Amino acid sequence: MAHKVIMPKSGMAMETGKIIRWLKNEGDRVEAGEPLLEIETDKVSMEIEAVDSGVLLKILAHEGDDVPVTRAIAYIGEPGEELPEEAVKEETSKEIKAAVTSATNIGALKTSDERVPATPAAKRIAKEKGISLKDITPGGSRGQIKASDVAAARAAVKATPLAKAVAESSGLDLSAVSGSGFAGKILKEDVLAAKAAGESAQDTLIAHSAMRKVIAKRMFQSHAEIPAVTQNCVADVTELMALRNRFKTADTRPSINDFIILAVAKTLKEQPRFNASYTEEGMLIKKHINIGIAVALPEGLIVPVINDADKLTLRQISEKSKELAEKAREGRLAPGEYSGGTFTISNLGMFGVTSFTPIINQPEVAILGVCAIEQKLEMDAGQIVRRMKMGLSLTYDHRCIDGAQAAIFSNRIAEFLENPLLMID
Amino acid sequence: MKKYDVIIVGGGPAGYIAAIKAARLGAKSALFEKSAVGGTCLNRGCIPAKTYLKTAEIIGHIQDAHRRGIRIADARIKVDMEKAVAEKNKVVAKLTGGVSSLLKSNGVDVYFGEAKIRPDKTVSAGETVLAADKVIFAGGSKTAKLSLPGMDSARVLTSDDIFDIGRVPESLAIIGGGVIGTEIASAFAAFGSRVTIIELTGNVLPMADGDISNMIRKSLEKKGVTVYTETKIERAEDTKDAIRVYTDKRQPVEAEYALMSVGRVPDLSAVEGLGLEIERGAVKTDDTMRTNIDWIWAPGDVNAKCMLAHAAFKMGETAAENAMGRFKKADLRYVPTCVYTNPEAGSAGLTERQAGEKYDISVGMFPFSANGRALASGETEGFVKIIADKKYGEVLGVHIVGPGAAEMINEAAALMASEITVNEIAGFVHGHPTYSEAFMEAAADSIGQCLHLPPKK
Repeated sequence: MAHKVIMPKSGMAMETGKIIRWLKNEGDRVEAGEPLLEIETDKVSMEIEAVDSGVLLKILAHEGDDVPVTRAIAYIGEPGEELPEEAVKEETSKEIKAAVTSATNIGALKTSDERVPATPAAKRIAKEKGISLKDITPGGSRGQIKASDVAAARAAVKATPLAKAVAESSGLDLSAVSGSGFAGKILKEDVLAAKAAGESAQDTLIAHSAMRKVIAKRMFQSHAEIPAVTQNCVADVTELMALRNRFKTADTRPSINDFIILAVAKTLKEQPRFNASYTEEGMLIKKHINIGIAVALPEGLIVPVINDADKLTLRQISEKSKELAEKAREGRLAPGEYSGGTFTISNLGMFGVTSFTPIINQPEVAILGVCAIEQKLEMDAGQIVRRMKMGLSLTYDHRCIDGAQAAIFSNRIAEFLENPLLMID
Repeated sequence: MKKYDVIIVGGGPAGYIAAIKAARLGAKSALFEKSAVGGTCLNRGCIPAKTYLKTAEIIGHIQDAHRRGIRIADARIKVDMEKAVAEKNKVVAKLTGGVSSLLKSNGVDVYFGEAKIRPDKTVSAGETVLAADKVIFAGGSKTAKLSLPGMDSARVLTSDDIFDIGRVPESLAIIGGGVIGTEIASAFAAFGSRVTIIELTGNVLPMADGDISNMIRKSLEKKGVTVYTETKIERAEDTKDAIRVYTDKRQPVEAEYALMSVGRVPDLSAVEGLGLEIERGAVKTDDTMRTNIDWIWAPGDVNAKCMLAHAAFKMGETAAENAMGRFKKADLRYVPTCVYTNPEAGSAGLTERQAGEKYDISVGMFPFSANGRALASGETEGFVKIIADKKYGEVLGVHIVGPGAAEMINEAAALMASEITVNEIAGFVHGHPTYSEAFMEAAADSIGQCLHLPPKK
């Protein structure tokens, strides 16, 4: 196909160029980089080189014509080639349209290189090959850089043919590679090392899993909608731990978390405003106390729900929670087993976390964060005694719950945990 | 006690070059040698072999002379081995003399005797004890021997012995068809011995590219050498008049002498009890020739990286530079291997099989039967084979059998080290008529552009 020769845009301000003279006639053979015509702008006159090799098939704009930049002024191709219809049309059309900017990459030169006089072809090749014009020795009659000068500069990068081939095939710019060969010559190994370094320096994108997308959406929504407050308090679980240790076998021994579920269930029953949903019209107090337990998975987390926790015994809670956690880790939870929760407990105590700000699992109004159990020394009747203390971080929706209510709520949970006998009905 | 900056143990190619380089870099250096400077290569290896192989080549030319119209009245050829040995000794003496004077002119003190490197950074030989700041251990290698019954017979020679043999043996059984085995077979077959090669693996030159092995085997057989492959030696028996070599699958091979040429093993006698890390019988070193002991470098055959004199030169030079506080690596990827059989062979880089395992390859071949100079010289046996990587045209391996192969391989190795691809080689103008043209033609063939071969389908 015949190639268009366009009026180049040289400099940001250039809108039109005047053709001074053609250096080739129609039917002449031209080589890429060979001077083709001279043009003049309001600032400077310059030589334009051919970008493509071939025969100058048709000249569209003639000496003296003022042509908008990027407009076709000639066609180069092989003899006998048919010219596109527009070429014929363009010739007859006397109307010169407004200049089109940014239509070709010739218009998008770096400003830093703009001050260096260079032919448009030289600029284009230099830009494509990533060579700064400032590093090129000009060979033009008026001190301007020509396409052949760019080619010479490019060949001057000292690299073995093999290194060049490897760089080219991997799209690596050799000017950015440091050579380890004699006098800094770039070897294949240098290119491979640069390539490896480039690859390892790149950040990795891990696409979101379906679960991650759900978590992201829900967490963002909760965080954006709810004016949440987190309050921390401490429960003394010395006695609870002693009690727990009295269970003989590991099979039947409830976990600390099971006691917490029990304590929370009892507190929710006493203080139903925490077992609710916030709506515009009012607080929707839930009839059932369904406690969700956050379970960490390699890819995220899921919250299986223990329904009617207030109606279960400690042993039942223990069994149910074990079963649900196991199912969650194996990905076997039925939809009904991770929906319908009215309050959530998130336990990070096993990781040694001492305090955090859990995010409310909507449409609930509060979430209890359970923290690590730590040993503390206390004075008790003049004696130093060792006590086991566990942090509780309660986040609540301040739209419907206030600080004092939240404090009473978490204090009551702490009270249950400190005096496990209170939980026996 | 006299103290040196660098003491070199071993006066072979690795050792003497290390000594000269260290001296050039300003070290006060000394070299210990147990017999004669020049090492295996000059005294008991490459140089003696090449001397005899030239003799064999001349015999070949005489035998072929009638084809060119040269009439020799009495064409019975007999090699006077005593004279041949004397000639070889003259060559060796000239070269070792050259090495000695090089060492002297560079100010290296040479001590003769079996050296021991000691943990207190001293090197001793007999009464001489010298202190060293750095030591370069270039102890070289010795002939590997099969410890089978009967192998201790005086009729079982090593390459060391055969180069000084007083007369041409009537028959010779060569145990091991590697470089040494095939070269000696080539020489003594020309001298008139009845030669049998017994090789354990599937072909002679088992480390070489398969096409080289096949071609060399064919050429040896054409010269009357019997080649047994996949044959395991079981024992030998000295029958007073001959040596009888028993194998696992054939009739015993009876010959006047047997040659033990099953390879070479590092000679570690100088470092016994030193705690130098040894791996599979060789000193463990990295590319800088550094060992686990921070004042010892170990270039050459002792590290078994590449048991060739020219590789040892490079390693010796590298060791000296590093001992003198520089940081240099010995790049042995393009070290050529030459076999001076007739025709000779030269290789550099990977074999076709090795290359095929790692790269998508293209193989270019040009036979000497299509090369003008080879035809004119009547030396048309052989080929140039280039293995190139299809993606970049990288030259992965070059394998040549034919006239001047050992010379021609250096062009290939130099271009490989310069990372010139087959695309460029195919365009380099080579003088005509020369054997080397075949190299350019093979490169062109690897990209399907050889104009002196029928077009590839």
